Amino acid sequence: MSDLAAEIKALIIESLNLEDLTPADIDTDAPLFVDGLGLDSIDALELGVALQKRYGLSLSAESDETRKHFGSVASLAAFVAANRSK
Amino acid sequence: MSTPPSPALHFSLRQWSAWAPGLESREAWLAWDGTLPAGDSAPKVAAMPAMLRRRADRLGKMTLETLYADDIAYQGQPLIHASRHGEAARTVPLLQSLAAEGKVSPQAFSMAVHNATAGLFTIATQTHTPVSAIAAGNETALAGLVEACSQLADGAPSVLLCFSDEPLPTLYQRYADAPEAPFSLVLNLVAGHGFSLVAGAAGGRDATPLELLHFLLGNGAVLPLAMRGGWQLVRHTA
Repeated sequence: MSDLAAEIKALIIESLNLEDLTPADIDTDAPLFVDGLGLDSIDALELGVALQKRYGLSLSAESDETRKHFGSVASLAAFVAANRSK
Repeated sequence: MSTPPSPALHFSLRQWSAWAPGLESREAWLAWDGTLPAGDSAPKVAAMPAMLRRRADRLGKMTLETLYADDIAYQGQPLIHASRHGEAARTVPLLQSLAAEGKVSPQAFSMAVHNATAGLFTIATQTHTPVSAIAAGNETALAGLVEACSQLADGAPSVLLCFSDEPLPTLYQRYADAPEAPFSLVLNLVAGHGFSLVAGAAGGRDATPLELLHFLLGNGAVLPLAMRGGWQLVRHTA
């Protein structure tokens, strides 16, 4: 697992109050929303704000691209690596 | 001119639950002398799935713990949540973060509305039940009872009336005009004549929800409920 993926898992746990989980409980390639981890639309917004704060990304809430980036920890890590400004 | 007769609003108390720091069991409440609870602890709300429970802060956790209480055995009744200050502990940091960063936490924002905790409970229990959320200043105890009695008079056989609050955030402390305490309590009220709400008494004072619970658990005959209108709660012994 890349360092960035591990960092994003920690960010997910912290920003979404998933106090009962550890990074090891989150499958890097599994879906984050609905299936898999079972996050919902409010989590998506919360995670978007956390990612923007941490990595200086700009995200469009409506785009299909954003939806793809939020598919899994692996896709988020690839998106952050390519677009981070901090 | 003679005073018109008060509209009789009445109910019977079927069951209750309560939680506050240091008053964490039924026995503790039955032995309670009315002293205001204090402290920062929060209940676990073990009955709620963790993915929903994580959304609740301390006030929400106290509220949920009393709604889920075994003694209440919730069966989908209409739910009334009355809280004077609601999620003030969330809205202050939200406003501060909005002022400082221009961004707010969507999660905290979604849970800052007055009916959020009751909504979370109905999602978790998958109930499609009417939910009323009330804030009525120093008359919150009266307003909750009037709403509950009105729903009973309208034909609901049973309603849950939940009161919960916690002390105001430090920034707002100077506006506190009544003693404050962290607590939640749930009254399962049913149609009946155990107690009546009666208006028109002279004098009186505004009762807090904790004073209401203390009266309900005791054996006093009358509780002054609200100065305005001279509302009283009268116990009828069978």
